[in-house]
Amino acid sequence: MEQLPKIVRSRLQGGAVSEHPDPDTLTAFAERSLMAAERNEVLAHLSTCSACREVLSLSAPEMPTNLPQSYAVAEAKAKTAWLGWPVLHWGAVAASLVVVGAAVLVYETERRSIAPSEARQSDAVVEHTLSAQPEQASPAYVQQRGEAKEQAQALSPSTAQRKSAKTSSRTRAREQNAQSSVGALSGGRDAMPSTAGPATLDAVIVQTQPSPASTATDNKVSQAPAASAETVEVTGATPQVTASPSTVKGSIAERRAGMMAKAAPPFVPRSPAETAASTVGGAKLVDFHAPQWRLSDSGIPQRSFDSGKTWDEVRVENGTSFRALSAQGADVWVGGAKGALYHSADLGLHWIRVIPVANSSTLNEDVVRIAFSDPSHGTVTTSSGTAWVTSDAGKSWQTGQN
Amino acid sequence: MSSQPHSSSRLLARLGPLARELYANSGGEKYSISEVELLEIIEKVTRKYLREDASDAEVGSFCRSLHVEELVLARACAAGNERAWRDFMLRYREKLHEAALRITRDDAGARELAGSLYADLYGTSSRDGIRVAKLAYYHGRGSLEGWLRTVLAQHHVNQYRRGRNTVSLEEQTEAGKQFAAVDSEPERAIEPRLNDAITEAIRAVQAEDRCMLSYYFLDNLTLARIASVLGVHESTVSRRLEKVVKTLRKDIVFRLTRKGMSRRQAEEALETDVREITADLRAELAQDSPPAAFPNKRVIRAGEGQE
Repeated sequence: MEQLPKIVRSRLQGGAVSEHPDPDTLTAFAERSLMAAERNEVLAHLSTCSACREVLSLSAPEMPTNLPQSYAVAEAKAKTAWLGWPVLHWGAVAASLVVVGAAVLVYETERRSIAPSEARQSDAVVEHTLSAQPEQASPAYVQQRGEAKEQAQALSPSTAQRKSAKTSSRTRAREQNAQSSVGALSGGRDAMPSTAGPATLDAVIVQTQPSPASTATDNKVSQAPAASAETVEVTGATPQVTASPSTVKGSIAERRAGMMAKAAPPFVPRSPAETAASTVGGAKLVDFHAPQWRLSDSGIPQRSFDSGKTWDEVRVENGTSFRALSAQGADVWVGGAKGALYHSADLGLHWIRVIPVANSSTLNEDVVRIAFSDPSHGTVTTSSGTAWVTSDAGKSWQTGQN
Repeated sequence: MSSQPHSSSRLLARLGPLARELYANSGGEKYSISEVELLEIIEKVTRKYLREDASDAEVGSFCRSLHVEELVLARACAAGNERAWRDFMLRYREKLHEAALRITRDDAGARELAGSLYADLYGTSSRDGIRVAKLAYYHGRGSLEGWLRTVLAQHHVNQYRRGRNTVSLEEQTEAGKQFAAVDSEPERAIEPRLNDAITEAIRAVQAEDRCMLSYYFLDNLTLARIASVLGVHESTVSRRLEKVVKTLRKDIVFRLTRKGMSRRQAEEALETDVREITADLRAELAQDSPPAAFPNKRVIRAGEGQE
C-alpha cells in the first residue's frame, strides 16, 4: 500500500473533536442500524477521536470475510466514485451519442428501403408460427395466422421464384411478455409468474416508441396470453403483385417490425445472475431475475424488480423484525432476534424457518450477519460473534468463534 | 431540541396500534412494567434522539427499531427488580466475561474489568441517597449485549488512560521509557499554502474514508480489523485505502499548483518532514484527553434514509 506522506498523516489526527457519541449510538453504529445522517456524523467524529475509535475497535466482534449484499454499501460507493471520474463521464456521453447516431442511421436506411415498395404497392408475406404451446393460442391469434396464410397464398406464385430474405424475431413474444409482466409487477408479488418456464422468465419489454407495427398487432397479441413465444418470418416482396391498401399498410408495418428485429441479437436465455437493463430495437428490456433486496427501517425485507425504483415489502412472519439479509439468485436468507432465521428458495414467495443445531446447541442468539457465497455455502453470525457455517444450504451446521 | 417535551399520551396517539405491539413484544408484564411506563421510557428515548418536528412515520420507524425487550429488562434491573437481575445475569454474565477477556487478553484482568462494570451497572454510587444504575442509560438503540461490550470497552479505555496519567517516572523508567529528548532546533512554521491545501484536501475526503485512514495510519489497525469495525469487506478496505491515499496526494498537489507552486515544488513540499510542522497543540490536547465519561446528552437527527 502506498504510504501517506507524514505531513498529511500528522494532519489527520488534528481537527476539533466533537462531542463523543453515547454508548447507544456507538453500539447502533457498530451494528449498522443507524440512519445515514447519523452514521456520517459518527464517522466524522471517529476520524478525529482516537478514544472512540479505540472503544469501537475493542467492542466490535470479529466478522467473517464474506459480507452479505446488504452490507456492501462501501462497494457500491466505490463504484459510484469511480464512475464519477470526469473522463469516464465524458466517455459515457460520447458513447451515448455514437449509439443514438447509429440507431438514427439504421432507421433512416430502413425507411428509405421501404419507401419504394410502398410506391409500388408491394407487399410482404408474413408467416407466423408458434414455437411454444401452439395448441393454446386463442382464436383471435389463429385468425391472425389465417390472414397471414391467405396473403402468403395470394403472393405465392411470384414469391416462390424469388430468393426469400428471412428474418426471425422474438419481437411479438417480447411485446406479449411486456404486457403480461408489467401487469404482474404492478400487481405485487402475488401476481409474479413464479411457475412460468424459462421462456416466460426471460425479460420484460417496455415499448418506448410504439412503431406502426406494434400498434397494428398488439391488440391481437394481447388476447393470446398462452402463446409465450413465437417466430415471425418475413419474406421479400415482389413488385408485380398487387394487394388491397389495408393489407399493404399492415404488411409494411410487419416488415418494418421484422427489419427492426433483424438488428437485434439472437435470443439467449439469461442466467439468474444477470440484472442489467438493455435496449434492443427501441424496446427497453428489464430483467426481473435476481431482484434487489434490502431491509426496511423496521426490519422488513423489501424486494425490487426495477433496480431499486420501487420496493415491495415481503412479509416473512408477522411481528418479526430482521437485522441481516443475504440474497443469492433465488435464494434469500433473513435473520433477526433470538435466532430467527428464515430461508426462501423462490425469490421470497415462500419462507421456511431454519433452526440451526450444532454440537447439541441451538442458535438462539440475535443474528447480526448472514453471508452466503453461493446458495449452499454461507455463514450466519450472532451478536456474540459465533459463526454458524453451512455448506449444504442450511441442512447441517457447524459453529466457530470469530 | 425542543423545550416542550412530547408526552407519553401524545406519543401513544402518534404510534397508535404500534404502541400495543411494542408492549406485547417487550415482555414488560414479566417485570411489572406497565404499558404506560414503557411509553414513558420510549417517549424519553425519542425525545433524546429525534427532532421535535419528526414525522409520525419517522417516530414509528424509530420506535420499531428499538430493542424494546432488552430495554425493558435493563430498566427493570435499574429499578431493582430481582427477577430482571436474575434474567440479566443468566443471559449476559458469561458474555460479559468473554467480552472482557477479548479486551484484556488475560483472565484476571477480565474478571477485574467485568467486576468493576457490574458495580456500575447495579449502581453502588448514590446521588442524594438515590442509587444510580448505569443500566438506566441504556436506550435500546443497539442490542443490550452490544451496549454492554461498548460500555466495557469505554470502561477499559478510561481506566487505561487514567492509569497512564498516574504512572510515576520510576515506573516509566522501569518500563523502559526514557524522557523525551528535547528538540535541538525550534520548529519551523509550515508553508501556509501547504497547510491550507492539506486541510482542504482532508476535509474533502468522505467521512468513512477519513475514518479508515485514521484507523490504518494512526491506530495501525489491520485491514481485517478495520473491515470488522466498519462492516465492510477486507478487500474493500484495502482498495479504498489505496485509492484514497492516491487521490489525497493528487488533490493536495493540484491545490498547491493552483496556489502558485510548480508541480515539483508541490511534490517536494509534500515530503516535508513531519517534525517541521507547527503542532496544533489544542487539537493534540483534545485528541489525547480522556473521553470524559461519554456524556449522554446528545441530539441526533433522523430521517434521511437508512444504511
